[in-house]
Amino acid sequence: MKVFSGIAKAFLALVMVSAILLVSDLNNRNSARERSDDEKGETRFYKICLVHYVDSPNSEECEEGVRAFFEDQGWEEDTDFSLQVYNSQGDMSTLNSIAGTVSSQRWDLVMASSTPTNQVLVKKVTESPIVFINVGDPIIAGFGDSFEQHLPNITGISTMSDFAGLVDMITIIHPNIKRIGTVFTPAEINSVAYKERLEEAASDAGIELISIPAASVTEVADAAISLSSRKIGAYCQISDNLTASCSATIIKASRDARIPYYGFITKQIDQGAVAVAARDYHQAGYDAGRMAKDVLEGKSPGTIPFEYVTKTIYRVNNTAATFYKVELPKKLLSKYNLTK
Amino acid sequence: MTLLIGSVTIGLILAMLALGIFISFRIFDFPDITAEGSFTFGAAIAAAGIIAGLNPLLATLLAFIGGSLAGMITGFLHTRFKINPLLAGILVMTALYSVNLHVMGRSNLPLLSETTLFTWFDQLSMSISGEDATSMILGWEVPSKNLWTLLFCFLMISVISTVTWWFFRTRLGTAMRATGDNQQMIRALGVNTKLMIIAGIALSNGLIALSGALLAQFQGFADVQMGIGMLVWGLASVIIGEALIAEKSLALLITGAVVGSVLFRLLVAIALRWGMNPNDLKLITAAFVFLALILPGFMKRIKKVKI
Repeated sequence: MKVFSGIAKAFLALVMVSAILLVSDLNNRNSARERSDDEKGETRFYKICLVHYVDSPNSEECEEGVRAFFEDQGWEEDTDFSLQVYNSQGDMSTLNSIAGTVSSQRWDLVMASSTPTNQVLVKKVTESPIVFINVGDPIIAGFGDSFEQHLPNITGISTMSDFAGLVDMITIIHPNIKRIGTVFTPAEINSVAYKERLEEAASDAGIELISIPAASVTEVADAAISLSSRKIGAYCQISDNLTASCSATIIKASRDARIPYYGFITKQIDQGAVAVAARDYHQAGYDAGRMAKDVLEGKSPGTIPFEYVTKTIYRVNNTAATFYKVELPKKLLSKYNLTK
Repeated sequence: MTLLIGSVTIGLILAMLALGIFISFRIFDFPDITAEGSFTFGAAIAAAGIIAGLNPLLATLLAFIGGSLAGMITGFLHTRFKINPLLAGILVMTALYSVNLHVMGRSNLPLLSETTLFTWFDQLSMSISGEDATSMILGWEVPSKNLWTLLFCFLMISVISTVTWWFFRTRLGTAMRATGDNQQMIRALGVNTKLMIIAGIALSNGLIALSGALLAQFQGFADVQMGIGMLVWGLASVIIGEALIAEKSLALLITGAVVGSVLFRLLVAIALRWGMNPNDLKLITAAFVFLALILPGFMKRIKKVKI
C-alpha cells in the first residue's frame, strides 16, 4: 500500500499544480472567438510581449528604444498598449518555458532580443508576428536565405557592427597598417560571424586580421596579451557578449603594449579607445518599434525585409590618441563629422 | 491548456536529464558535473547529424552513445587515476566545450528548416487529423500536433524509465546499486567496482545527452551554451521528487525523478504566467525548491500532532 500512497501523492501534486496553471491561464480559453470580437472595437489596444535572453546593457537599451518609439507615437502604456517583458536570464530551459507561456497566449506582436530567443520563438509562436532586435546575423540564425527572402512570420533589425566603417577609420589614422588583432569567442555565433565579417572588411583594405579565441573572462586577458606579441598595428575588438563584458581587460593589455585600441561599443571611448564605430542599440530598439508599428497596422512580417540599424555612432578620444602617440588626421574628423 | 501541454512536454524531455542525474548522484553517490557538458554534447551531435542528412532517430541514438562515451571518460579518470569525482567531471565538461564547438562547427546550429523527430510527429498529426487540426479539451482549443508531441514524449520517458528500472534489477544492475551503497562489501563479493562505476556514469550521461538531443530538436536549435544551469535544474527535480514520494523503492524513486521534473516545469510556467517581474524569476524558483523540500516534513509533523 505504501507504494501506492507515494505514487498517489506525486500525482495529486501534479494534478494540483496543473489546476493552478489552468486557472491562471483561464483568460486564454476560447481566445480565438474573443479575439474576433476584439477586432470589431473602435479603439485598438495593442498587446505586445518582449522577451530578453539575458540581462545586458544592449538589450536594456533596445527596450528603451522600443519604448521611446511608442512614446513618440503618442501611445501610452496601459491605455494604448501593454508591454509584457520576459527574461530567461541566460538559461535555456527557462527560455523554453517562456516560449511555452508566450505561445499559449494571443499577442498582437511578439518582440525578442538576441538570437536564441528568436530561434525558440519562431518555432513555437505561430499565431503572432515576431519582430527581432539585437540579432547579429539573422541569416546564420536561420531566419531566412536573405534579408528579403525570409520566414513568413518574422522580421526585424540586425545589429551587425559597421566593420567597413571602423576599418576605414583605422586606415585613415594609420595609412601603413598591415595587421590588426581581435579576441573572439568561438562559443558565440555572433562573435564568429563578426570575426569573419571583420576579416573580409580588413582584407578589402589590404589588412590581415589576427584573431585569438577565448572562452572565459580569464582567457580573454591571456588572449589580449598574446595578441600584443603578434606584431599587430592596432587592436580592433569586435563586440560579443564575453569580450564586451570585460573590454577593460583588453584595453589594459593594449595600453601596456602601447598599441592603439579601436572598438565597436560606445562606452569603450570612455575606457580609453582611440575611436569607436558603434551600432546604437537604442536606435535598434527605435527602428524595431517602427517595424512593429507597420506589423501592428496589418502589414505581414513576411513582406518586410530585415534591416540594419539605421544609425552608427562614430567617436574619437583625444586623450587616448595622445597616450598612444596617434595623430588624428583632419580628413578623418571631417569625413565622420567628429569634433576633437 | 497549450501552456500546460507545452510545460509538461518540456518537463518530460528534461526528465531524462533528471533520471541521468538521479543515477550518478543517488545510485552511485557520484557528484558528476559532466552533465552540463554531455547535455550540450547530445544536442550538438543530434543537430550536426540531422543537418548532415542523418535520420533524426539515428542522430538521437548517436547522441546517446556520444554522451555515454563522455561519461565513460569521467568514470575512467576517476577510477583509473583516482581523480576526485567532482574534478573528473569538471575536466570532461571543460573538454567537451571545445568538442561541442568542433562537432557543431560553430556555436549555434539552427534546425528550423530541418526534419527532426518532432517534425515527424507534426506530419503524423497532419496525416491523421488534418492540417492545423485542433482538439477541444475542457473548453480549451489545442493544436493536435502538440498533443502528439506530448504523447510521444510520454511514451518515450515511460519506456526509458521502465528499461532503467528493469536494468537496475538485473544482476548487473544490482551490483551497480550495491557499488554505490557499499563499495567494500561488493568488492569482497568479487565485483569489479571500477567497471561498475564507469558503466553507471556512462549510462547516466547517455540519458543526459539524449535529453539534450531531444530538447535541441524540440526548441529548433542547438547552442553551445545550452547546458549552463541544467545540472542544478536536474538536481532540483530529483530532490523535489524524493521529497514528494519519501520512499526508498527503486521504482518510486525513478517515478519521483520524472514527476519532479514535470512538477518543476509547471511551477516555472505558473511563475511566468502570473507575469512576475522577470528579475525575480530565479528567486521564485529557489523559493519553490525550498517549499518542496520542507513541505513533506511539515505535513508529517502535523499528522503526528493530530494523533
